[in-house]
Amino acid sequence: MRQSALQHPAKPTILLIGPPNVGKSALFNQLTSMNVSVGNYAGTTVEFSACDINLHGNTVKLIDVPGTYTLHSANEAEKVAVDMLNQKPDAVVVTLDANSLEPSLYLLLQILAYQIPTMAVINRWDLAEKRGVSFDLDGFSQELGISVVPTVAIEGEGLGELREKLSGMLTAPNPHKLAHELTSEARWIMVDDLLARYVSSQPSIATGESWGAKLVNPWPGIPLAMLIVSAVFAVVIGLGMGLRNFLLLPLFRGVLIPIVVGMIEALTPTGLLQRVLIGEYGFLIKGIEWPFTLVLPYVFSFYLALSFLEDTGYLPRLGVLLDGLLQKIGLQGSSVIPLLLGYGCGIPGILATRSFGSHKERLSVSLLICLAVPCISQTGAFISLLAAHSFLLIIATFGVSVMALIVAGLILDKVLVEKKVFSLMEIPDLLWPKPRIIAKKVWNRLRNYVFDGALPMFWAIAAAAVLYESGIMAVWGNLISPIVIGWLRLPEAASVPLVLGILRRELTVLPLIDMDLTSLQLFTGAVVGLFYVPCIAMVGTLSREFKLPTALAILGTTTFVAIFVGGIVARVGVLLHF
Amino acid sequence: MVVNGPHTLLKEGVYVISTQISMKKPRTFKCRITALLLNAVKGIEELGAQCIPLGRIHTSMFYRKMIAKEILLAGLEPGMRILHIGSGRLPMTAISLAERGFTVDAMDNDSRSVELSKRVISKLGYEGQVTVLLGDGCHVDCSEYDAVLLSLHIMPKEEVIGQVLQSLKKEGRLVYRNPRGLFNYFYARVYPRDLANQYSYRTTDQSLGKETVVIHNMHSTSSTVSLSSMVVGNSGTILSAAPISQATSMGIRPGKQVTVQAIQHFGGPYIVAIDNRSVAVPRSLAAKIQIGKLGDSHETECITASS
Repeated sequence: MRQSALQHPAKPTILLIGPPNVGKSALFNQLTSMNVSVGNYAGTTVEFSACDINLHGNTVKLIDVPGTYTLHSANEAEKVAVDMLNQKPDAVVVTLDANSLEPSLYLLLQILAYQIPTMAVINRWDLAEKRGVSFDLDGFSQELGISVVPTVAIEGEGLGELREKLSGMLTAPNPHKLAHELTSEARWIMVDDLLARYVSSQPSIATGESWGAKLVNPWPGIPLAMLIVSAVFAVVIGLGMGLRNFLLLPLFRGVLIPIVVGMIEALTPTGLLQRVLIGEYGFLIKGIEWPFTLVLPYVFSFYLALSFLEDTGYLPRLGVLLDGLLQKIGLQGSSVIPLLLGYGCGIPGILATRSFGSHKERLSVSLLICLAVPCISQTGAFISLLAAHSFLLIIATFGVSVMALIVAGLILDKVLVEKKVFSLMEIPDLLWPKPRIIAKKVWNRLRNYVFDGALPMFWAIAAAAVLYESGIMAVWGNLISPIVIGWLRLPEAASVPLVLGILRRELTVLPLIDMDLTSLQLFTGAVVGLFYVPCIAMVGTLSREFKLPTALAILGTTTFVAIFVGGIVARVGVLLHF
Repeated sequence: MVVNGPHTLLKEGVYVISTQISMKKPRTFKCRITALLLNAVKGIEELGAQCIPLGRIHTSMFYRKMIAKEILLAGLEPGMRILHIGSGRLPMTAISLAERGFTVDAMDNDSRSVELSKRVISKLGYEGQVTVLLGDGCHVDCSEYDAVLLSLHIMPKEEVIGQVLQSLKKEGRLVYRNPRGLFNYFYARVYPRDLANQYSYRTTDQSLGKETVVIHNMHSTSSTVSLSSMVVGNSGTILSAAPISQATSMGIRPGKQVTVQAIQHFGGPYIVAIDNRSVAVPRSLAAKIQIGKLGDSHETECITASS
């Protein structure tokens, strides 16, 4: 202890490590009262999170490591785990899955070879008990010389014991008995041996698993998938529009904004300042109305639907059903998860690609997200922009998005060449989500949106208001008017959103609402907005994940595609007398 | 060769069930339905035999696809000599096999069936390829044949299978049909695992309440297939697999029992159950996983239930 205290003068570090989808993040959240995202699929956590916790008076640093089946570092997320073990933490808590002990035990044996004080947690204990599995914990813990604690992380069961044993291990590190390296065959033999001796009834083969199995069979899985996806689409749009029209719009337009306007009019003289605050681009009006009445309802409805899909374990099933088709455009079933996350926000989408085994796939999916997957803020903007004219335009915009995904996927498949890697996917059990956890997830997303989305949007609108009222925007508009007027056939004012869009994606679209455009112009605007640059935060993420040149190349590509396709839409539309 | 002794009944047994045996045993519901079904089949076959176009429709509707699956599963190759026991009044299996270039002996113990079948074969012009024989499955010697096919409704099924296996040559195959679902109630089902241990077997589901079992007369270890040639419902033990760490952790390693749960369209992955987990395995990898003794999931269930 003294030695390790010298090495880590600040505080002891504890790694929380285990195979994917065993509930490490749920355990981490319980121990730290943080809100790391959790979901019922492998690879929810792709980046480590750290937090200080108090263990019987001592502060320790707990680190949630991305899930890893083995320490052979097959993908980025697993490399993170290996790196962290190599940095010699003070203790490791290995989370085992009570429902699937085999791979968990293999990983445990691999970690024991690192000679770091280790203890094991057997999570999802309730599900295993339900299946009639019993485990000789004492015998097992004595044989390996480590403490073993059964837990049910999402319910918080067994955490007291875990804290106790953990703090005991830190004060008196007990060297475990299995410190030597083994070949992987020998390790598997040992796993089988341990299972045979300490687990009394191995769960039987789940052939009759009713719904979980049905949903992954082409029949009736594919028709059901269509049904489920349409239902999700309907819930996101329907619930969002309902919230906007019947709750948020009356609240903001009828109550809050008049109060603000009244106050500003009383406090400031008419002139530039008042116009900046409550004029045409008055940021106190648009800056409140846009984020809270146009985007917020869809953030709510989307994340409600997404959390449900995540927690049931349906997403990997959808991926598997689509795998064959996605392969035709060089992707895989596992790409479904990042793409779907991208429909919420591009950043988690790009980060989720870390669990892919191939660099090519990571890059393609990230580019596709930047190019053709509108984030939920943008979707909210599309709906507000187009719904008043024709609902068909919304469908058409999403049609363009899907078509672009296919075309871009095909092109990328040809351009980027890389050796194919086998990517297996584990299909989790179908679980009924817990309402409490869904509510918590949606609440976190909303909170994140208000602080990381609505506030930047407010300041971006403020900046726009200043530029607009000061006349700088008009100069800029003149400058790029050949593109905006000549090529895209939009009014000169539409050059404003092209600048704002760099700050926030939805701002490429929202200003068009008040411009009195024709249906064709609206659609052109929507298409430009769809393909146009990823927002600044996404460019930042891209340059961190793929280096700056790649990020800039993506920026250039998306801008070019947006302008190019927008102009074509404008011309084809005229030809069709649209 | 004609009806003599207690077990010499193949299709003739139908009549016996509905007449003589029924006098001694109580007429159970099951017994009646079985007789009714068999009579209906006979009637339809008779109609087909009398009127060739009807027979053709019957063959293409019910038999062609099934036979194609069986040929694939048993690894039969054109030129092989095949014996079909219980060929009935309209020898559809024999005709479908002849169409694909096999030489077939069709055998039945009902003289009327043999007579009708001969007529159909000559009308269709398969005389060179199909020979119709009057004979009994319980006393048959199949050492001359590369493969023996048994019809679903032969009786007594277990005995005939025993006789065939006893006389089957090395490398020979026995293909027989088991009832599935509701038909289980009316027709005898013979579990391949109940037969002697040295045989390796494969099964596949057929449409219309049938299932085909293929028994290879060789030691089980020498008969392997890759995961990619299995069908939904098949299960078997992994003999060897590409050593990819991710796959190994998900349970794809030698000695593990796998069951195919689903196969995705458009070249998508195989979904297999290993222990109590489901794993999606890409086809390219599935081709590199060798599976030993095959069965089907229903049987695995039976084993777990009984133990």
